[in-house]
Amino acid sequence: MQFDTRSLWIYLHFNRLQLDLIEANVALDHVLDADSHASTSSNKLKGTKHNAITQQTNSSDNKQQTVRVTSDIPRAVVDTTANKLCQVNQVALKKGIKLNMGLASASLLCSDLQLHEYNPDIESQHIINIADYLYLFTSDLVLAPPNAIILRVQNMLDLYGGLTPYWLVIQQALNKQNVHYVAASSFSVQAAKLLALSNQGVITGSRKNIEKALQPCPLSLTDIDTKDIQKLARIGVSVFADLTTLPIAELANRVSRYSMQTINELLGKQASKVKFYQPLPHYHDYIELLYEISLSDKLLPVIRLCLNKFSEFLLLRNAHCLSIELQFFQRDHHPKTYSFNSIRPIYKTPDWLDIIALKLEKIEFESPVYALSLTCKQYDKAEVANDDMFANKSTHVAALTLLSRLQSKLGKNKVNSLKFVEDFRPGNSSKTTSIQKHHSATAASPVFHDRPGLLLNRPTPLQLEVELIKGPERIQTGWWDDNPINRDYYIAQSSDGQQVWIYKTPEQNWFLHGFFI
Amino acid sequence: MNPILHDLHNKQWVWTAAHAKQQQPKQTLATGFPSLDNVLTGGFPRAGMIHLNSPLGCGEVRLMLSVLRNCKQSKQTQKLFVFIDPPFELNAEFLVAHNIPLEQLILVNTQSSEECLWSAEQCAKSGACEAVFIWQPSLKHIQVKKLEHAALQGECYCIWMHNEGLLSGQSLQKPEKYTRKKYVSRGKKCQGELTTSIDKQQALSNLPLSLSLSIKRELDELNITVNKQKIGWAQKPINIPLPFINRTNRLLKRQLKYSSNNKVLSIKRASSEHNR
Repeated sequence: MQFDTRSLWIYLHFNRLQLDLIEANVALDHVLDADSHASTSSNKLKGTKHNAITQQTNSSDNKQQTVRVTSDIPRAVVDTTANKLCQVNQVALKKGIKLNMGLASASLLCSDLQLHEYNPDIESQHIINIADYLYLFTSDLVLAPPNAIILRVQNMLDLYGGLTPYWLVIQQALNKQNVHYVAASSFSVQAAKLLALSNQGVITGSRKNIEKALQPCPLSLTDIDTKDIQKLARIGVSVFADLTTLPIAELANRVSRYSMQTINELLGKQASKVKFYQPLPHYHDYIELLYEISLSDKLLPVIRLCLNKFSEFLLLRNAHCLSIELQFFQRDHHPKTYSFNSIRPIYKTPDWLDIIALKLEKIEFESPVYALSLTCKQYDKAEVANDDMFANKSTHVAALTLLSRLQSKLGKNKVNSLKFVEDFRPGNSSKTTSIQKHHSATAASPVFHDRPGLLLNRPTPLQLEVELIKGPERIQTGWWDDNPINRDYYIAQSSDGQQVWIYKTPEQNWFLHGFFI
Repeated sequence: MNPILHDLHNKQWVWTAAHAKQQQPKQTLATGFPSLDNVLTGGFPRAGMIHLNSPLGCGEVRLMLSVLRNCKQSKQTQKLFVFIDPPFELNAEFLVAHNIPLEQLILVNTQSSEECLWSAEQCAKSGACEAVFIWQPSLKHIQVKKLEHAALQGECYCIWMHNEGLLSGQSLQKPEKYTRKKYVSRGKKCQGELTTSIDKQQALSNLPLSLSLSIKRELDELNITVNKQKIGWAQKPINIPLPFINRTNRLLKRQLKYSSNNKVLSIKRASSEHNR
């Protein structure tokens, strides 16, 4: 979609996204350890490929070390293709490690540096999560994988009453995500990007200030072809300020069409083409565990975290759902997928956890689980009930919760309701059906014969000494399907005082069919 | 105080008459049978675990349902009736005839008695159920205690149908008389059986139940013995009318003899039919 060159954009660059994610996971894991007091001796730190330098920390060693893991360990993310450090945390910076440093010199400077391999996929995945969250506050978002999001501010200004309040809201939202970022505003996407990448970013709506900030920015950070950047450097154009001194036509002769387009966008003479982000209609979350877990009950705290995120997601949308899917990724086997159902639409973590815990008891994993994902294909808007607040409300909710619990523990086909079917054959008149939310009114109206409460599934030959009380009642029916019956039913009393229902076939054989209870 | 008694007292397993006045204003549920209400000092407790010891098929469920109907009239609720692992198939027509709406009925089938008790506990404490029916041959002290607590918490009845010997399925194969004769012929074993049955009785009376009844059919009457109730003195057994529509005195009587080769030998007409 194309926009005029007058709208304001904000470029959010997450400069150490993967590192932020890793540190958040480690911190969470620390919390979990403290929570569950679980012995993690069997758990192994999921090491990266650089085992030579990566120290395998066993968090069970002592508490001090666990604390150390969360805050004091120097960490860096290394780009293996370029063999350079691309993300470095504060502790590592203090030790003298710098960005774009080679691996060898980094390991010489700091022997206990924790290294992680750079994976753009993780970042690309996570900016979608961030975008999902930001979408609640701002409408037009553009994803710039792997680590940037562009916001179109112009159409939000009226809603929030200016740039400052708007930016405040966005800042708060971003702080909740616990990620580092650099933001810059400008009237073109390219210029905002350049500002953000060169760390010159300011959030302002005045063209003068933006222009001023842009002047010293190096062109090497823009999307212009590297070949063209060299060509421009030869004629003395290396920063943004140099661009404005030359006439456009002069530049156009020297660089490719693509680069020229970028330059035009930078100068605000041409609008950039962007595609706005639309959140997916379903919810999907993927969590990679720091340690492999083989015991299902140890997974519960992780699932709780997943669910917390999910319930927040639903709460913000005033929605709830009936079914979620959890997929467990196993180290040496295929992933296992389980769906969890609730009879009552719910969104709260404890409610879901309750159902999941019951089913998880029975699940055994063939090999340790290294990741899990939560998917919700469909969620509905929570409808405000207009019912009377006090009438049967609590029992109704309690009943549905109870059914969900029973079904998740025993299996869906073990919890049923009965239905009365109009059929003269005694065995056919009741039918077990799965529980429905809204029962259709019972169509068949029973005749209220004196009937036994319990019926034998298969009548057995009569072996009790009985005394007949009432009968016979002849039932000869069912000629329309393959189970015709022809029986004379009697109510009888056994010598032990049991009231039973027996029948005689035309062949004079006696069978026991039921008990009056 | 006797140390054992002291210990029991601390565990609150001993009821003293001094408690009677404090616990007096407990609500009870009238059963609809004045004689039964009299014995039960007012009627059934409002919630809790009820133990019904009876042979299968003497009207024990009908009795319970008729009591529950009184309860329903007073409350007008939409609470659930849960039947967990009935020994045979439940008959919908019977339930409808006894005013149990089928949409309020849940039938649970479980694999093991642990699952059955778990489900019963969940149902009882959920607060969504009117009554939970379980059929179990025997329960331990701790299991009963759990269910009792759950039932009190959820304000419902947890009804333990205790049909001795009749659930095993063995009795369906062998006529009752046959087994009895066998016991008589082996005197020693008979004695063994007796002592265990006394032990069983004692174990039963120790269980923390809200109410325990033994039901027996005596011709056209139901003989009810109160084995245990929370407040009140021991009472003599009482008789109430049989909760069946069809009874022996009204209709034709026939004596049916039956042997194991699946053929009827003779049907003797009872004199009562001649009289009619």
